[in-house]
Amino acid sequence: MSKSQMLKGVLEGCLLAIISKGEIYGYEMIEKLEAYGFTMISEGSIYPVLLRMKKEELVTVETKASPTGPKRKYYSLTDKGEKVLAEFADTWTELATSVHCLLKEIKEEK
Amino acid sequence: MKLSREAEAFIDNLYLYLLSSGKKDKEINEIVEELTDHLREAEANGKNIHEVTGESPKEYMESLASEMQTDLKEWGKLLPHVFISLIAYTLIGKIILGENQISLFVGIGSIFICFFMLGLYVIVFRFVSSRSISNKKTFGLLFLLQILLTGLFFGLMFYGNNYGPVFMMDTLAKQTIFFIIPFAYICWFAWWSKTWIIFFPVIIYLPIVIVEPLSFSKETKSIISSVTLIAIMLGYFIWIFWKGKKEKNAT
Repeated sequence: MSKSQMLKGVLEGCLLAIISKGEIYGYEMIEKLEAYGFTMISEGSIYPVLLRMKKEELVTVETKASPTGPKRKYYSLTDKGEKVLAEFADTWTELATSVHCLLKEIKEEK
Repeated sequence: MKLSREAEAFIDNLYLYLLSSGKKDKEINEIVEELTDHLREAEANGKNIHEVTGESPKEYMESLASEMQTDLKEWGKLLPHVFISLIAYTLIGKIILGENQISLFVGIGSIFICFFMLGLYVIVFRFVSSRSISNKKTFGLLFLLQILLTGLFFGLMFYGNNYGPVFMMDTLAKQTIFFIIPFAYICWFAWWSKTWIIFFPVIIYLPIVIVEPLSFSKETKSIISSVTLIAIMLGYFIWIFWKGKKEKNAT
């Protein structure tokens, strides 16, 4: 399985986490993701996810003029988004622990 | 900073793709604006467009489209106008040609051709926009469609009038009404949609009007007017091509 395929499923959760730190626009999200080491996704792939998150009312969008000129869409989390993020964090911790245990066991057996 | 030509082409294609997929105007403009902004910033930081769209721009466009609402209402709103303007063109044409009857066969035939061509245009637009096809080929394809459309209508106008029930427009009053109302409608439609291309089909009748006073047989006249029309369209095509080339050289 390629890295990007694996990430696809968790991208929504990661974006929720990044947006939860305060309102942010698309390119900034990519910069943050890259800073955390997510270099395997194509940048544009966040936009279909953002569209879906907006449709599901996990985020709200506000269009504002940016300091450098063009109007930008700034995303922030809704209450529902906060809830989904908390659920994602729980699920992820559980999953990560399980995967970690499993892989550790295999390594030890070898 | 300006976008690279490749990025600009991607944005244009995305716009066309979403439009021909029947997405909402407002949503299309929003996502196109957002991506343009993103690409501008990415390119300013020395990134290349493939880092944004991934390996396949087509797949990327599809993934965006699948998250957007399809708005058939917008198309639904436009369709009646397409039909009405079609009827308007036909009526104007008839008055200009000095014909005094409307045939049901031609009416139904026009609507049929319109549906067929509209479908074909949508297919071609989607095909062209999702594969990076050069402008020259795109113009070629659209030009072929234009010829097909014109050809179908010409065929219908010349041969369709021999069939079916007809309605007579035999008085000057009737003729005036059947000219002014359609013409007013076309003017309104051009203003409403803000495209002057609406008047383009009226140009089709121009050669016929020019040829009319000359003393040739009916067949010769129709041949001359068809040739003139094709010449006008070829000229238009060459002009667009030449303009495109000039712009290319300028950048």
